[in-house]
Amino acid sequence: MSKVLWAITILILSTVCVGVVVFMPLAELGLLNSPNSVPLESSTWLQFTGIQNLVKFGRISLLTLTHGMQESPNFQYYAYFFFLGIALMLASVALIVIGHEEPQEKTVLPRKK
Amino acid sequence: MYTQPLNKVTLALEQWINAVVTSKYNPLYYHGALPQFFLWVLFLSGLLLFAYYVPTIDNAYSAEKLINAYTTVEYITHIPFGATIRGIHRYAGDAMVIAILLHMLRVWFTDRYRQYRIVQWLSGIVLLLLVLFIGQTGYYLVWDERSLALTRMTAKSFDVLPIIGEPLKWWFLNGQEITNYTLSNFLFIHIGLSFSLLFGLWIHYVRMQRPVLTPPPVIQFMLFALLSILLLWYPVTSGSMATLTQQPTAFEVDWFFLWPYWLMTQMNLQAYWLTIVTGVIVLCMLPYFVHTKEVEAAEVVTKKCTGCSLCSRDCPYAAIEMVPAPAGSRFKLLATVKSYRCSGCGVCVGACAFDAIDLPNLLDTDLTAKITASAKG
Ligand code: SF4
Ligand code: SF4
Repeated sequence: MSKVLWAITILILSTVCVGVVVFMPLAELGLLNSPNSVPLESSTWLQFTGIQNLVKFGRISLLTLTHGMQESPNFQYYAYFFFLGIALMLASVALIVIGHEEPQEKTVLPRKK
Repeated sequence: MYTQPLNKVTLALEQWINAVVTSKYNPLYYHGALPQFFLWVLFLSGLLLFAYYVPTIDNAYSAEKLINAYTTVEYITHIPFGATIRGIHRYAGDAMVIAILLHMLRVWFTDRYRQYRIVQWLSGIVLLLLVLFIGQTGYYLVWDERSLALTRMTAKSFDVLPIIGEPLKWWFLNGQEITNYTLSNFLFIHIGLSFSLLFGLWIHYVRMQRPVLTPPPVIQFMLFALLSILLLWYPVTSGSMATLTQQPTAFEVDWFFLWPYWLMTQMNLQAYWLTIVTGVIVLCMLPYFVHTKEVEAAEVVTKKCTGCSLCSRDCPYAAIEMVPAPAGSRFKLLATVKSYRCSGCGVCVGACAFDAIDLPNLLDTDLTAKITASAKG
């Protein structure tokens, strides 16, 4: 793989990984259960609507994936582990891509004296 | 040999995975370490669950103010992350059984379970049986209808065993019948036997020079990620609380751990025990059913050995011991082969730079050519 392609792949994987990790605290706070409960004070550090849209996106994605699992009282914790799992998966893929570049282990036979 | 075609399939799979993720991250090269990884996950998640578990059957469902085994499981399920930790514990157990079976199959296909590996094979079977029993006690601890049914079925199955049946039943129930002591016994068995797995694993590894105990982080991430993602689709649930005056008639079967109970419903109890015992004996005897040539151990050419210890470090089966060189030798140490441990694998021949160790009936040059060919392949 060329160096540029390699760097782009790692960059994309890392960005998506960090992006997915953002959903973990949102899930834990229960915001994916009810996107309308995003606290208004959040506008002080990020646009309130931005977070709300993110939360809605996460909720719709999970709703599509799980066919209504959101009704469970423990949904927020399952969602947290789900995003943790996705982040770990992406991190592993990134590590494998990086590891690909390292030289393969070679069998070296000693020279007989 | 009949396992050859299967071995070829696993080798082809191995090469395909190598092409995708390289040999460094190929889980097939860590098949023995995968169950061990799940064991750590089980220990850690089990420790968290243990903090909330009270092993009694008293004051059941209606006694809201009193804690009992059922309400503690309920409680665990409803505290933050409690249900997910329970799920991780449950599915890590299932994953461990799958990993053990894959490990067994791979060892069998690649023909690494006979002769010098017999201790590993037998200890592996004991470990598998222990894991199955520990998993079953985990199902008793939930103390829902299924737990009650399983406890009664197990106790009843002991009734048909001559001589040992009665004491076994007494030990299992911790008395004549199901009481609070029964659940504390289940908790003891579940945790105590889990720790005894470590001793079993020590026996399993003791003849290996460099056992791989943990897979690389990438594989660990992947496995944990799979467990975490699975939870969203299959959250763990419990049935209704166990009531001693009632007899549950049907329950959901976890096929990884509870298949013996399904077997119990398919035949009478004598036939059940006969099937289980025969199955275990056949599994233990498997290495003796396959006829193979006797292994010829490696031999050290005493005059050439410089005592460099390279062969001893490389031998995968800890079959070479370095002993003080005989009086008059120029060197301090001399390699000696413990023939009962030697598999005739030839690694030491490749490791020795002084041509001082040989396999009978196999020329050094032939062996080097073989190793070179397989390294290239
Ligand atoms: S052939 Fe050599 S490396 Fe292989 S088991 Fe025997 S002594 Fe050990
Ligand atoms: S590698 Fe060769 S020389 Fe070194 S200790 Fe072993 S047999 Fe002796």
